[in-house]
Amino acid sequence: MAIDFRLTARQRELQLQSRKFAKDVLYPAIEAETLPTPEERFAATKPAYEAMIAAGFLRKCIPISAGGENAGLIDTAIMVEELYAVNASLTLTLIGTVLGLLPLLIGGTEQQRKRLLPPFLRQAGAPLAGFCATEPGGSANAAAPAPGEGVRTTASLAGDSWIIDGRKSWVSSATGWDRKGADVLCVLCRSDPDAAADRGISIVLVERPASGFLFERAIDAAGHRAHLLPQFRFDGLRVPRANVLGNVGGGLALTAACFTGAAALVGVFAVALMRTAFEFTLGFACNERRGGIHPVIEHQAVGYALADAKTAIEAVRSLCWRACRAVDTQSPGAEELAIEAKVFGSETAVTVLTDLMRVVGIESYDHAVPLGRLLQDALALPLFGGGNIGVRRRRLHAILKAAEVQSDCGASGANPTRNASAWKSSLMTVIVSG
Amino acid sequence: MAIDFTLTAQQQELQRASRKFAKEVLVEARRAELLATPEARFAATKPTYEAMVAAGYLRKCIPAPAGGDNAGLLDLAILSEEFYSVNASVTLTMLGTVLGLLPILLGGSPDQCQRLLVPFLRPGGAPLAGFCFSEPGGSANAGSPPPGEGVRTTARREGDNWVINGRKKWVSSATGWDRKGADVLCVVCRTDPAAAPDAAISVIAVEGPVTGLVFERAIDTIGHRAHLVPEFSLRNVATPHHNLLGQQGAGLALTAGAFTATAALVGIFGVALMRAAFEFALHFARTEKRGGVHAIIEHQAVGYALADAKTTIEAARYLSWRACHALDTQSPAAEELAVQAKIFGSEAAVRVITDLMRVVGVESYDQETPFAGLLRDALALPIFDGGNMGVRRRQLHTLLKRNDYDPLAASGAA
Repeated sequence: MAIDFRLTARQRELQLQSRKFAKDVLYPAIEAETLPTPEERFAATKPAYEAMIAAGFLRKCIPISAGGENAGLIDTAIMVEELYAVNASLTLTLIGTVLGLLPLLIGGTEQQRKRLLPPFLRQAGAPLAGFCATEPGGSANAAAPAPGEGVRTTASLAGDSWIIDGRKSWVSSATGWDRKGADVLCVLCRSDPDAAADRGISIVLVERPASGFLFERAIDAAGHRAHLLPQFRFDGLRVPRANVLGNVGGGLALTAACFTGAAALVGVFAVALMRTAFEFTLGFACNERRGGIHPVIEHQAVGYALADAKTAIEAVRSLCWRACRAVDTQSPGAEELAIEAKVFGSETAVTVLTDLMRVVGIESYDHAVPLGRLLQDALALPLFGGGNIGVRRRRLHAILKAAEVQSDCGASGANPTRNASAWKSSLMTVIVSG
Repeated sequence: MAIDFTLTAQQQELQRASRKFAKEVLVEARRAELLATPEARFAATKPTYEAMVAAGYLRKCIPAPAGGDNAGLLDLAILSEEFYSVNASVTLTMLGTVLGLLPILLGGSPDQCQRLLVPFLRPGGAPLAGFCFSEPGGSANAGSPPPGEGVRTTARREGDNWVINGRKKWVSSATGWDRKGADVLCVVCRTDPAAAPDAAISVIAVEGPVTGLVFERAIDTIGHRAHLVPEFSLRNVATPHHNLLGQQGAGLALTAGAFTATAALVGIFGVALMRAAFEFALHFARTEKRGGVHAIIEHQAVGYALADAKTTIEAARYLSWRACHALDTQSPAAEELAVQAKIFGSEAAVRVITDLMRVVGVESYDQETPFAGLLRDALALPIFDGGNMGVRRRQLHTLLKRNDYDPLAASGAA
């Protein structure tokens, strides 16, 4: 093993296959975004989603150890960049389903996986899963002690069942194709009303169909227009006692683990959107004269703006690969790097897309060109998968505060030989130049 | 070969040894920066530089095929990060010497390499080399056709010699320890007064001591206080005709090649300075209460500022590694990535160090803390080795304008 950035032959094959599929199937499916209501738009993507499943793209996201074909998050990153660059809505439906399965993959028992995964491993149908964490009123402080509300959805034991009551929102695909629920929902709920947050919250599996599941509305999202983000309610919904994932009370830790892998992928989403915008803008700048003598790329301001955009894209891609690799190798720096990839990638995407719109000028304000749609999609990245302000940066902040984390060397694999305090004293002995 | 970020056992050892050397030798040498004049400061670093050379660090920067111990630019990045984070001045003296040798390493014949590299391969002495590119009046438009001046320094053929006339400036260590010139100078000069820039400019090696080199002044720079950046004239400097490096007239291409390699390293310089500032700021935030109840890291604004700084450091480090790896593997995307690493790493360093000073507050304005020194060192990064505005971004701009440019090539995904 050594520092390397080359794709294996197998990864290159995955990249080209994904690119071809994106061009042939996902590109025409963008049409769905023009329909008037969120549910119509989502429904119109079903044939393309079925084609993704039939082509094996969901299997490619499920680890080999669980019966799928995924060899690691780097492979997912390579695949997702190709798909997301062409159609964010549909790709998010796929990856949202993977996120919905993560608590099962990470925390589930062998028996739970055997029972629930088969529909997702078959290359047929349109299986959906959802990770139900977010609630109306906000979940950035899910771990807050009383009097903070924290997780409001409750699961109470009644005999051999959990009875779930509460409301959730913003959960990808959660209400399914028919408002009756996705095939599998992993629901974050308070299983002990008296315990502290790190012992009182659990993830409980809900399988379709379930009575007591109520669709409220499909959010008309600013971007990802053909992806379903519903608001819904559990009303005395009953599931078997054995449907808890992992330890009873260990729900917040399991949630954090799931969102770490997803965070690295959000960085890749950002790369994908910026990449498409850059390709369009570069083509525009090389070909359009806008009434002048030269193509606009001859103007220095245009060339510099493009150069800066491309620089940012390469920086984000490098950091994301680093994060995915750290997750794959279970490096101690994985959480830090994944969240950094998410924060940096998502905020860079919004900035870069806005800057590229300025290069193209007023034409970029027309939905006939892709920049407006890409920016609308990008606006979600700093806000979903854990909002950057509320959740992700707080996790980084927590890492920085943890006493055992030393200096900035940890994430780069450079074992620090001295702690910050020794570092300070060595510098303080030298009076730096005057 | 697959995407990976693991250091080899040999690289870990290089990192460990470099860190130890930096701590034991380079930290102390920062005292040189306190002296009054640029020349006194530079002279005071000589024992430290000799120790670097004696410990084999210069050899570690010269490629194995040329007789050194260097296995690639990635190794150089690992070494540079450790050194630069502790002492930018002396590290720049060593890497400026490596830049001074690059035209020989990239363009020189086997005979030239063998002849000119000898003093630099010995683990002894204090050998210096300089790449004489920049001139008074600016060199951002060195490729300009007339009536632009372009490269003003000239070399004319007289018998078996080239005779060089002109002025140069900002060339690391160029006038040497004694004002008589570095051991080797690679001088960019106009060898054909009539030809177009891509056929008129050459790089010619001059060996020291240089007769005709006139020291004018040592620039009193904002940062890198103990590093020598002189201004000097070359008056009828004669050098054998066989010291012309590469093709006659192809000097601008050779110059671009040399600066591409160092551009990736400038990204690492940015990482190194940010890392030093971050370590200090993190420790300060964890331990100082500033009169309040809690350590200031408990404040969300402080935590977020540190989180953002660390995020930027990691992004700059991996972009730089990627650029170094692209150069090592001779990827067609190497130029693009190297220039991007330079721009991103250098501009991030200035911004991040400024932000970290705000975390520490007014204490950071005291030279007893490292911030001001690090920031002053960082200020050079966007403007040296080809200013970001003038040269580096234009290189990217030129790439983007090419008909065959593919944005996915840089990630190996075209």
